[in-house]
Amino acid sequence: MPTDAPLLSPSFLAQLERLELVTRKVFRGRMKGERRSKRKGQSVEFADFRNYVPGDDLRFIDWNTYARLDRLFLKMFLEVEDLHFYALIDASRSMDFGEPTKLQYAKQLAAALGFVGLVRADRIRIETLGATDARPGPTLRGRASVWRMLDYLDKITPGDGVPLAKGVRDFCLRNKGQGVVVLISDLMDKAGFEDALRYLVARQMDTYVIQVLSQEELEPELVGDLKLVDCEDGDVAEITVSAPLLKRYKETLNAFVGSVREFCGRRGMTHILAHNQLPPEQLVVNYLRRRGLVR
Amino acid sequence: MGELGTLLAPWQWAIMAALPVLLVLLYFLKLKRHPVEVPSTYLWKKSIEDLHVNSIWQRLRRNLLLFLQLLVLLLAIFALLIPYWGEGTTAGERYIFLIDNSASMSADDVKPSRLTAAKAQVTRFLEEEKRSQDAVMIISFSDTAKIVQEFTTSAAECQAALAQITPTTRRTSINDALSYAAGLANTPRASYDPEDEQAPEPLPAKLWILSDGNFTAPSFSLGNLEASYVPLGNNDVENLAIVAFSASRPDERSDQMQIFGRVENHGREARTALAQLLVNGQPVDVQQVDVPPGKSAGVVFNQRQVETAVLEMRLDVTDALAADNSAWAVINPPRRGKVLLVTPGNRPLEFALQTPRAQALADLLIESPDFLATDEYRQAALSGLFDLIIYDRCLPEPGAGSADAPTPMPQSNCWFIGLPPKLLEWGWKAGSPWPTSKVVGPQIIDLERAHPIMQLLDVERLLIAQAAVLTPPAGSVTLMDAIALQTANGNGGPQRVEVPVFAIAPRRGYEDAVLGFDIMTDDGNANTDWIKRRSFAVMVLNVLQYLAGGPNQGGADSLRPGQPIELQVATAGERLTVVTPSGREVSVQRSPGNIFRFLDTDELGVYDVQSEGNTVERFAVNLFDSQESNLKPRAELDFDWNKVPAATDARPQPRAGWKVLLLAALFVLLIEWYIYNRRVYL
Repeated sequence: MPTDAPLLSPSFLAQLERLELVTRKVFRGRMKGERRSKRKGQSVEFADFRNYVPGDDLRFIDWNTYARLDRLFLKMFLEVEDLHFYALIDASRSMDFGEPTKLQYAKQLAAALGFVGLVRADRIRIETLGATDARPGPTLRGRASVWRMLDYLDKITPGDGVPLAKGVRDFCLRNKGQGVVVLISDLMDKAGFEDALRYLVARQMDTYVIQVLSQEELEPELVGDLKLVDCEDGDVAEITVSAPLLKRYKETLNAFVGSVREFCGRRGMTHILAHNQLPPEQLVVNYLRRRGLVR
Repeated sequence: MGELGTLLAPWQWAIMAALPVLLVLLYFLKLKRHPVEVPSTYLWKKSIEDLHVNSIWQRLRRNLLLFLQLLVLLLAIFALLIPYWGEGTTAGERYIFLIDNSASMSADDVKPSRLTAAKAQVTRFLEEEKRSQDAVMIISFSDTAKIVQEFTTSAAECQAALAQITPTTRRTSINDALSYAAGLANTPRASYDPEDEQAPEPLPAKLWILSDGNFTAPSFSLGNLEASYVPLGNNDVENLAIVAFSASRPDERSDQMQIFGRVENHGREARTALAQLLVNGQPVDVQQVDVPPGKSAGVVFNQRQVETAVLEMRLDVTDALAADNSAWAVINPPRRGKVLLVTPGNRPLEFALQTPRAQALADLLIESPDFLATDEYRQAALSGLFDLIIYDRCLPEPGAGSADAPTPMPQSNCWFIGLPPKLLEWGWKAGSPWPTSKVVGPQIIDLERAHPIMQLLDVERLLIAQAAVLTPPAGSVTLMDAIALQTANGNGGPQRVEVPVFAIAPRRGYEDAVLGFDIMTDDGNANTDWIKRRSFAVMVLNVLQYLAGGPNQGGADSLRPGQPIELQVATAGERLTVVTPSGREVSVQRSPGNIFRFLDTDELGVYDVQSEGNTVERFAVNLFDSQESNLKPRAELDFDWNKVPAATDARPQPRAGWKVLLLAALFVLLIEWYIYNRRVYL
């Protein structure tokens, strides 16, 4: 779906510059980054001593200790690593609704978080649920990759009718590493969202589920006798809009969102409900910050 | 709350009953839903899950819209059934409709006309209110009443009878119609005795008077008649009417004809109209008339005298009633009068009465005074056979027995010469000598030259030997005044006095001229030198023209529509043909008494009386009725005993429920619309 508005506005970028991605877990990065790692490695931050064993790098021997105790100790430093950040965008047709569309909203979110990561030298990977092994999303690193990321995001079009669970499973198969994953989806899958989330849990990733709903879904403005057609599978629901039906719908919606939140909460995932009328700036700067994804 | 009724046939009921069922069926079938694409039906499906469980009935159970639609339909159906409640019509009501078809009912302030509106009201009653067992009687009335339909339960007969009622140009009188209506409803007054088996059972009826109320309501007790009055017409109706139109010859100028019309304004605003005068169909004059509201104004045309003419006055206005915007008058050729001269012998007078001009005016019969004693004279005098009787030095006999009684006057104009009639008006007293006094050698000093008899007379230095002193009655015109020496009645010498010697006085539609001096004395000498003058013959001719000229010339005897006329036409045939204004020819048979009675005068305009193809006479029929021209409908009828206020509609007051029901249906529809849009759930 074409969008004229840029995914990230300059003022938004300025705000994002001051943020960084946070994870509650410490993962091993692949490359040196800006984060402390569990691994001991090379950095300026002292971690521990250990006995020298032959073969160790002589550069790390603490000569002051050797002088006093006449024993060789090796100084160990905390390793500073990069963070793996995955943004998983649901680009199914159902996301192509709303004004702005939920997909556009998801792209904006992904772009914002990706930008934060890139600025902080994290490893960023953005994928759609429909992505296959043949055309995986790019792995990006460094500020210079911002434009590649935006370009990739721009090319995402709605239409991959991949069930949520299958998409997430494929994603997990493709990406073995650990890190932070942000799933941006409406979670409206008739097969249920639980399986998909379970895959993410199994990966022991730091998972954020941003559930994007459009205004039309939250407050439907339907009138009369209608035949509702599901845009993805063509499923038909015949309804006669009435006050009780609308009431019931809202109850169902609340129950649905509540079930997602509960599911996530129990499994250490963070669930964030977003709707497309909430500016992404506000979501990132306020909500996500409060939830600990960025700081 | 009375009986709840309706007017539907069973099959109509069946159709009505089928409609709600149809609606419910349609409700199942109708659901042609509008497709809408949504991101996901996931939540919707979940939302309607328990609805899916429901059967069809459960679906209906909560469908408020369907219920409301059913309600609307039921209300509409009920409205269509035309239910009525309230004053119910129980079995076999009797209705009597009095429909006014007088001239004023032709007014078109209620389109197309008041009469049509009245008929429409009755028709509506027949179609909507009348039940099969109700009996209806229809009476039309103008100046007479006509039962166009006896009591019947057949609506078709009533409709046919209604069609027979046509507008007339007659005046209005409701008396006959009321009598007819009351005939059945009210037991004759004679049978008060409850034991009287002969007395018919009174049959109460509902009386509907459809009229504009422009008649003099008689004193009438309605008794068992339950009267309602439906006024027809608008209160602010405008009408300008000609209420009088006639032509007369002014006394002063015999060669002129004065045509007089009177126009009344029955509207609320002052009106100005052009009054056009047509003579024999040709417009000859036009005048403007300004008539203030509620007032009248006269219009006078002066025309040259014509022997015979049809005059018409037209008002160039547009108003509610067209019939009174034209009026007609006819000037018939002067009829040859019949003159009886009773004289002991008067050659100059006889000679003057037999000049060619005089012969053209009148037929003369000369008799001696002995004739006055015969039955033949008495019969002729009583029947008005003669137009003028000239009594020369004689008077009609007062009848058997009393010599000292007033003179019995004939049914004709009279001219007394030398001897005034013995009448109290003329100064006669029983027992006193007659004439009371005489003057000698009166000198004529004054003439009433304006009077037709005195036209063109030169009586200068007229010599008169002796004259009786006249005492003209009130209202008379003294034609000649003289100064004379009155012989004293024991009061010294003769006195110069001013005495009338020729006078004319009206008498019950006739006129009596009295010439105070003899023309010839009994011994055969002349009493005056007038006989040697040409003015004598002129005077006699004037008298003939004035007193023997037949009926008034021009329009005075205009007939009212429906008024019969007796035609006195000198014709040898046994029948006359009267051509009505519309060109219809009516043959009239001669009746005993040498007259032709013609009754068919319903059309306004000029009727031609023809004998063997030649027009011998004409007469005009005009509306000339202020009451008919006053179109404003009366607010109530006052029969002295009963006052009948105006009702609005010829319906026996059942409140037609359909309007209420339709309104309710509309209201429910509004609620439904609201619920549909606001998704209110009750």
